[in-house]
Amino acid sequence: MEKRLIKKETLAGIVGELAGKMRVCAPMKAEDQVLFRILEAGEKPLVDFANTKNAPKNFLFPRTETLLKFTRTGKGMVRAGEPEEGEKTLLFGVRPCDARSFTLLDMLFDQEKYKDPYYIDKRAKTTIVAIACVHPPYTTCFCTSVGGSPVDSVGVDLLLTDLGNEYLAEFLTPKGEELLAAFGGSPAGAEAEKAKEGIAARAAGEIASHIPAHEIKPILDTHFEDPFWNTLHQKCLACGTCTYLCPTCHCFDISDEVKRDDGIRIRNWDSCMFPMFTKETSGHNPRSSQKERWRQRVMHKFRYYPDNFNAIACVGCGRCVMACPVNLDIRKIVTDIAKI
Amino acid sequence: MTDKESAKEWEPKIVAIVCNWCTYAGADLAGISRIQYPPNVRIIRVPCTGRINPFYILRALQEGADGVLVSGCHPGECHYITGNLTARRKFAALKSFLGYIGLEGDRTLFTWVSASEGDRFAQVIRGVTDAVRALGPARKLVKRM
Amino acid sequence: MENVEKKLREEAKGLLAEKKVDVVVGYEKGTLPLTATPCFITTPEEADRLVWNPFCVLNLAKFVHDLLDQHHEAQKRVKPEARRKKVVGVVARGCTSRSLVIQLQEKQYGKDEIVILGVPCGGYLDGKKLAALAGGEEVREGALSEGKIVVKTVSGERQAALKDLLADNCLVCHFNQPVIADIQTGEVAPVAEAEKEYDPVTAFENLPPEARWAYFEKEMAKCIRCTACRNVCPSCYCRICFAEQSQPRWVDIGADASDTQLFQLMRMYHMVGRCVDCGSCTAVCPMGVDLRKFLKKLDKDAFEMFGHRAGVSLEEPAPLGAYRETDGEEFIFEPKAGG
Ligand code: SF4
Ligand code: SF4
Ligand code: SF4
Ligand code: SF4
Ligand code: SF4
Repeated sequence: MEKRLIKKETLAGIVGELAGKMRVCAPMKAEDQVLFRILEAGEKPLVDFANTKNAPKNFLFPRTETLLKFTRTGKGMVRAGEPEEGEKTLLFGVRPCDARSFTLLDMLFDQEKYKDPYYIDKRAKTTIVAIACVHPPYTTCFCTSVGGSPVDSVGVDLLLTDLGNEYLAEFLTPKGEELLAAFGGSPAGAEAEKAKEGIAARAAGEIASHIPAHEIKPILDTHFEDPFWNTLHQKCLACGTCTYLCPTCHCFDISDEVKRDDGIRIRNWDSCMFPMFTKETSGHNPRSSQKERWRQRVMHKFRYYPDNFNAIACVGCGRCVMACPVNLDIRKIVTDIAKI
Repeated sequence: MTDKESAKEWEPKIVAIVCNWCTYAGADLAGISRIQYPPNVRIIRVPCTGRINPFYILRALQEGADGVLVSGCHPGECHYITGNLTARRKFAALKSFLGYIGLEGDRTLFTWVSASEGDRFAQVIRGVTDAVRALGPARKLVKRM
Repeated sequence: MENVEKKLREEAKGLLAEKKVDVVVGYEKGTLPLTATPCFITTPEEADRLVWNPFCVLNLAKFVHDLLDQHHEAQKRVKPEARRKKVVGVVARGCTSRSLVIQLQEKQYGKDEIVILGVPCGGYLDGKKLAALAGGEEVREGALSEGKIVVKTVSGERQAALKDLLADNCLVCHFNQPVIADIQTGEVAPVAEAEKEYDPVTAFENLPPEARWAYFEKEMAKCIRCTACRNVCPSCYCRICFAEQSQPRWVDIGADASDTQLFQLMRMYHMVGRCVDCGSCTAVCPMGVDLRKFLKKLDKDAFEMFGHRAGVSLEEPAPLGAYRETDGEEFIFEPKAGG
C-alpha cells in the first residue's frame, strides 16, 4: 500500500482538476446545507465540513433509476434500448461510516445468489475517497458502537487523514492507486503513521454516543411480540425521512412511467416507514400500523441483517437522529431494547 | 415534441374541458350552424364544471397541452344548480396560484358558454387559440420523458 | 412559561386521574439540545414529562386526528355493545387549535372526543435560524434564559435574542391564544406583527414571472419526495393521498421535475383556506424546501378572495366547499366580440 503526504491547501484543487476528467461527486454547500453533488470542471469541493445531510448512496443506488425503456409498436410493446451505463466516478469526501455503508449494501446487492447488475455496474466504476474524522463531527455519531471508527478504512479506496499541515493519503486498493499520479504528494514515513495512530485513538475517545447495538440481537430474536413495540411508534409521522437519509437503507419499488407510446421502467427508493410499502393489491396490509413498520425497521437493522449477513445494518452516522422531525432517536431505542 | 418542432410549424394544442349541458351543447350548435373556428382544441366533455378536479388541468399541461380551457354554464344556469359556483372558486384559486408560481396566465383559461351561444363558443375558441399562440409552446410543468 | 407548564401538568394529571381523557398529547423534552418532541401521556404519573416552551414546534392536531381515526376504525371490528369512546386531550396553541377547528368542521370526530388544553404561545424556535446562529455547526449544548438563546458549538459559544430566532410564521401570527379551548393555562402571550403577515407574498408577487418560476423550480428540485410535509400536516389526513393512488395514477415518482412540481402544487392547493400557517411542513422538511412561500399565497387568496381565515370559526366552512353568488369573476375569459 502506498502512503503519501499531501499539502493541505492543495487538496481541493487536486479534486477540482480531476472533475474536468471524470465524474466527481463531492460535498458542496447548497444554501444552508451540505450535500453531495456532481462537480463542474475545476470546481473545488468542500474539504472542511461535518458530514453531508444526504447519504452518498444516491450515486450507487439512485433515488430513481431507469432499468429499461419500451415503446408501443404495431406488434405491441417492445424494448427500446437499455439504460445508459454508469460512468467512471470519483466519490470524494465520504466519511468512514458512509464508506462502510457501501460494504453493507454490497452484501445485499452483490451476493452469491442474487446480483443486482445496476448497482454492481456503478459500484465497480466508483472510487471512494474518504476523509477520516479527526474529530467526530457530531455528538450523535456512534460509529464505534456498530463496528466502525472515525478513521475506519473499510470500503475506502483512498483514505485521507488530516495531520495538521498535511493529509496522510493511504492508497488502499488498486482503484485508489490509480489516483496516485493525480494526488502526487511526498512519501509518508513512520512519523506520519504514528501521528495517525494517535489521532485514531483520540478520535474514538471523542465519540460521545455509545449504544449497546451488539447486545440487542438475542433480545430481538425472542421479543417479536412485546409491549415495547406498542408505544414506540406513536409519534412517528411515517415520513420516511430517516430511511431516505440513511446510508444503509435500500428498499425499493419498481414502477412503469408512460408518456404516449414511450415508457420507462424505473426503480425508486421506497421505505418500510410508508404505509404503502407493504400494501397488497387486495387492499390488505400485513403491516397494518406504524407499530409493525417500526418493528421492521429495528428488526431489519439489528436482527435480520445480522442473521443474513452477519453485520448490523447501521453505521452510526446519526443522520436519522438529527433529521427525524419527531426526535425518534435510534440511540435511545436501542438502549431501551437492551433493558427489556 | 414541441421542442423539436420549429416555431413556424408549431400549432397550439389546447384541451377544452367543458360541461355537458351548456358549453358542449354550445359547441354542438356552433357545429350545426357551420360556424368556423380554429381546429386547435380537443374537447373533453364532463357532466359539470363542478366535477372537474383541478388535477385534470395540471395533468393536461404536464402531458404537453399548450393551453387548457374550461367552460361551463353561466352562473345561475347550472344544470345542477350550484356546480359552477363552487367550481368558480376552485378555478379562481387555482389560476391565481399558477400565476403566482410564474405560469403564464393564458395557459389556463376559464369561461362560460351556454347551449344557445354557438357564436360565443366559436369566439372563445378563436380568442383562446390566439392567446395561446401568442405565448408559444408550453415549457413549464411539462413532462420531459 | 414555567407557570403555564405547571398548570398544564396539573390539568393533565387531573384529566387522566378522573379518567376524563384516555391520553394527553403534548410535548416532552427531546434527546437533542433545544428540542421538544410530541409525547403521549396515559397515566397521571407521567404528566410531569409535559413541557411547554419555544422548542415545541410541531402542530399536534395531526396526532389527535390519527389517534381518533385509528380508534374509529378499530371500533368497527367490535360488537356494538362493546364499543367505547376514546377521548384525547391535546396541548393546543393558536395554530393547533385552528387545525382542531378544521378537523371538527370537516367532521373527523366530535367535540366530545377531545379536550383542548389551551396554551398561550409566543412562537417557536426556527431550526434554520438556529442552525445559522450555530454557523452550520452542530449545536452541542443550548439554553434559553431571559429571552436569550445561548448555543455551544465546537468552535465556541454564540447567542441571540429568542425573538430573532422565531419561525417566520410565528412572527406574524394573529393567534397567540387558542381560538377554542376547554381549559386555559395561561395569560396572553406577546403579540406578533400580524399586520405584516402577507408582506413576503406581496413582495414575491411583484417579482417578474420568470423569477417566480425560477424560484419555484429551484425549490421543488430540492424535494426528495419523502412526504414528511404532507404527513405532518393536520389538514392532510386523506387515508389514501392522491400521491399514492394508482387508479388513476395522478403523479409519478420518478426523476422528472414536473412530477414533483405537480405533487407539491396539488398538495398545497388542497390547503386553500385549510392551512393555518403552523409551519410544521416547512419545519420537518429535511431538504429545507421553502414551502411557506407558496402556502402563504393560498392563505392570502382565501382571505382576500373569499374573506376566509382557516380554522377560526366552527361555523364557517372551508372556502372551496362553499360559494357566494357575488364571488369575483375577474379571471373569467371574455373573447373580443367577432374575435
Ligand atoms: S459516525 Fe461520525 S465520527 Fe464516525 S465515521 Fe461517521 S461521521 Fe465520522
Ligand atoms: S440507522 Fe441512522 S445512524 Fe444508522 S446508518 Fe441509518 S441513518 Fe445512520
Ligand atoms: S424520520 Fe422519524 S417520523 Fe419520519 S418515518 Fe422516520 S422515525 Fe418516523
Ligand atoms: S400546510 Fe403546512 S403550515 Fe399549513 S397547516 Fe399544513 S403543516 Fe401547517
Ligand atoms: S418534506 Fe420536503 S423533501 Fe419531503 S416531500 Fe415535503 S418538500 Fe419534499
